[in-house]
Parts: sequence; C-alpha cells; structure tokens
Amino acid sequence: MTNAHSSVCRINRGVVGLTVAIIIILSVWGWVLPTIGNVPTIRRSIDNTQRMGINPAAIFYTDVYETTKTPRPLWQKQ
Amino acid sequence: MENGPTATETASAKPFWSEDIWAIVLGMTLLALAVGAAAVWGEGVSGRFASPGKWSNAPWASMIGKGEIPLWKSSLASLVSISLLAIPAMMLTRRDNKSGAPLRIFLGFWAIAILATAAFVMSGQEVVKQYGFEYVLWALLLGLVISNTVGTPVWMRGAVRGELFIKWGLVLLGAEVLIGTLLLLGMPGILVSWLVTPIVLIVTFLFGCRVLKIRSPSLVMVVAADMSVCGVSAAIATAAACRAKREELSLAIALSLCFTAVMMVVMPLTLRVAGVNEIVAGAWIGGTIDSTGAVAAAGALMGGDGPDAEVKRDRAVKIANTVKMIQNVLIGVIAFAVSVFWATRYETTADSDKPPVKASARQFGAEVWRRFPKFVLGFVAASIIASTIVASGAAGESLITLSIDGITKNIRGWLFCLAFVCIGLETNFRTLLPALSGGKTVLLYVCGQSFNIFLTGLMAYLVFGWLFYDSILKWLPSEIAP
Repeated sequence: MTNAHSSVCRINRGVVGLTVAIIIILSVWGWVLPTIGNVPTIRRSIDNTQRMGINPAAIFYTDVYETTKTPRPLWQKQ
Repeated sequence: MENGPTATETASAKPFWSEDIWAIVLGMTLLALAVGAAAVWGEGVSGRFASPGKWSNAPWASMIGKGEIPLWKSSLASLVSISLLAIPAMMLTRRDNKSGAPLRIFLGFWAIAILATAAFVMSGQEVVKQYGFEYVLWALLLGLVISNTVGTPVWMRGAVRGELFIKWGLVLLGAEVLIGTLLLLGMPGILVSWLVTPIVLIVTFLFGCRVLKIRSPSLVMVVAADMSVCGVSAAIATAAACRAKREELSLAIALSLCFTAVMMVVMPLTLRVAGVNEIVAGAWIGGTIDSTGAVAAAGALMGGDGPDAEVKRDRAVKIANTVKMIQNVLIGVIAFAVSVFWATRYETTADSDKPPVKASARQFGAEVWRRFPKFVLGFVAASIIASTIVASGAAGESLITLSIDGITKNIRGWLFCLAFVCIGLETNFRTLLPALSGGKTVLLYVCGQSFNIFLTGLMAYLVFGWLFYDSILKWLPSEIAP
C-alpha cells in the first residue's frame, strides 16, 4: 500500500513537473523571445545577419551560406 | 576510467554487425543514394530535404518557409528517409524483446522525431538563432525534461538509440570534410589552424588531466576539442572517438554554447575598440570562437560605422569564415588521431583498464583493433571519397555540392537532433553534476579558451598582420562585393 502510494505520488510529481516545463517553454518561446526580438538593438543585429545570409547557429561550415561556394585558394593566385 | 553510459556506447562483446558497422552501412548507403539522386535530378534535389526554418512571432512559420516546397513537407521527407533505413536497423540490433518489438520501435522513432521537430522549431526562433544556440541544446533539453519528469516510456526505449544516430550522422559529416579545404589559405592557414589548433588541444588536455586532475580524460578531451576546433561538431566527433559518456558530451556542448553566445558579441566589439585591423581580427575570431555560425556573425560585427565599414566587415567575415572552414575540416584528422590515441592509451570497456603493452605485437594490434571505434573508418572513407570526386573536376565538385547541400547535410542535422533527444531521454539531471567536477570543467574551459585567445591572437598578428599581409590583401578585394 505504501509502495503503491509513493509510486502514485512520483507519477503525479512527474506529470506536474512536465506540465510546468511545457508552460515555461510555451511562455518563453511564445511571448518572451518574440518580445526580446522587437528590442531595437537586437532587431537591428538580427536584420543585419539576415541581410548578410549568416546563420549564427550553424554547426558546420557547410551550413554557413558564405562558405557554401568554396573560395579560390590563396596560393592559386600567387 | 569509470564505466558508464557513453555518448556512443559500443558493446564490449561485439558481434560483427555492431552499431559502428551499421552506422557505416547506413551512412554510405545514404551517401550513394544522395550522389545518385544529384546525378539524375541535378538542381531538382534542392529544397526536397530540409528542417524547420526561422521564425519571429509565429512558430508555425518555421514549417512553411520561403521556398517552393513548404518546409513541413521537406522535413517529413527527411524523417521518412531516415526512418526507412533506421527502423529496420534498430529492429536488427534491438537490445531486448520487450522494448524492441517492431511496433514499439516504429512508435518510439516517430515520438523522438516529433521531439526533434520541436527542438528545430525552438532553435528557429530568431533571437535564439541570433545568439547561436543550436538545435542540439534544445533537443537535449526536451529529452531531459521528459526523462526527469515522467520518465522515458518503455514503448519508446527501443528507438532511443543516440549512439547509432550520432555515428551515422558522423559518417555523413565525413563527406562534408573536403581535404582540399585544409590547404585553402596555404601557409597562413597552416600556421593559424594546423599549428595553433593541435597545440591548444594538447595543452588543454594535459592541463585538465595533470594540473586540474579531472578524473575523466574523455571529458577533458571533449571540452578541449570543442573549445579548440569547431564547437559542437568537434565535440560530437571526439566524444564518439574517445567514447565519452553522454553527460560529458552534453556538458561540453552546453558550456561551449553559453561561452560562444558571450564571445560572439564581446570579442568583435573589444577588437574594434582596440583598433585591431579587420584582417587580423577576422583570423583571430575565426581561430578562437568555437561555433562555426557564431564566427560568421562575430565577423559581421567588425565593420564599425566608418565610410569603409562594408569593406572592412566583408573582409573580416571572409577571413574568419575561411579560417574556421580549415578548422572544421581538421575535425577529420583530430577525430582519427583521438580514436587511435584512445584505442592504444585508454580503455573504457569493463574488461580491462590498461593498454596491453606487455602483449605481443600481434595481440597488441588485435586489441587496438577491438577497441577502435570502427565508424571512424566510415567517416574517413566518406571524406576521402568526396574529396576525390571534388578533385576530379568541376562536374565532380558540382555533384558533391548538390548532394551535400541538397540532401546529406539536412539528413545529418536531423540525425544529430534525434541523437541529442535520445541522449536527453537517457540522462538523469543528477549525473550531470559529477561531470562538472566541482567547477573544474568550467575552469578548464576558461583557461583553455584564454590560452587559445592568446596563441591565436599572436599567430594572427604574425601571419595575417605581418608575414602574409600583402598577399592576403590581394586575395581579398577581387572576391568581395563592392
């Protein structure tokens, strides 16, 4: 009985934790981040990187627009 | 070394069809299909495989995109392609009959795919993207939230195969490691990337193991590679090569992304205030900031407000990107070197903890081969094959570019995202604390990065600001838009 009770409590705590996490994620991505994105300084920097085709979250060089066309080697010109 | 779950766990009693071999088979099959598709359809493959894109206020915008094909369709195409190869492989390599039932693997895979999609959507928010917080972090977070609240459901567990996804993604990444890129800048590139990067890696590793006395060498190696080479991709590759634990990889990536977000703003502003020449600054930024995308963004902050701001900014971006490209390609060399070093020096399996130095040469060779992470051979083979095709001429270069840009890099992104959801689903928050080693890991990162900044700055001044300044200057203007 005690084991079953503690197991139910653990599951309930888990469900509450998951619900809280989902609410936090939805609030941050649904409201906080879009609001920050409208702050003029941040808006300017976002627009700048967008204009230059830069993806600041690129993992590898092939994900960076600037490097998708391999530049001519330096020594070739010399 | 402590025994525990590794980011790319390999069973010690390995049958031939281990996860490593499956990763090579799946990676090579996908590469062959991608090259075949690019050869048959040419430009037609562009846009058919993708992941959710950027959005500002409405998350659903990330599923639409601006291209002809909506992003939800190309995202689904990527996931279906992965599932067609991954689900049969998971069934054939299932760990137990309970969680490995075909229906459970199928349902589990698609549940993980939904979480991966959510991670991509979270990373696509423009502010998140602007500060370089890559999708792997959100994939990890979503997995952690589930495993640490309600727990990972049993029906999902058969599909929680982070190691398989990481190794498969790394084999695909191999095709993006074009060896010719290493020589792009000739001597300046060799001095800044080839010389500084390995020195910083080795010094940081020795510092962490011998001075800070961090107990896990694999943690030290992953942090050192992440910080000295190219951030997340290097961390993933070296973690797989030295069989780091999944919480060590998670910690190294979280550390790197947090410091990168600060450095990508502070470093260019500091260099501008200090009046550092944009070419030197570009090389310094390219060699120092971990994350590849953040390097480009930091270079773009170098322009300033003067009349020649555009030219300065373009020069800084160009140099920073090129230096980073060379460093990116170094992950092939470094992953291979680390895997050989680990196979001969360290052991992570349960049956022994020392290298078999007293064994005969043949026994030693067999033991090293047993320990060697075989998927690295697939990674190196993919790199050699792609580099050879690119070197064969313009047609070869175009074929590989189309295959990578149109297909494999998107699939690789999904594979890493799926892998980090799985890592999160298998990780308990409490296991992350020991990986911090009482703050020593953060200290290791800070000291290593400080040394990296010093040495790269010195070399950037010497090479880009003095020795090769004129030839670099001649190389730049003709390729920069006025």
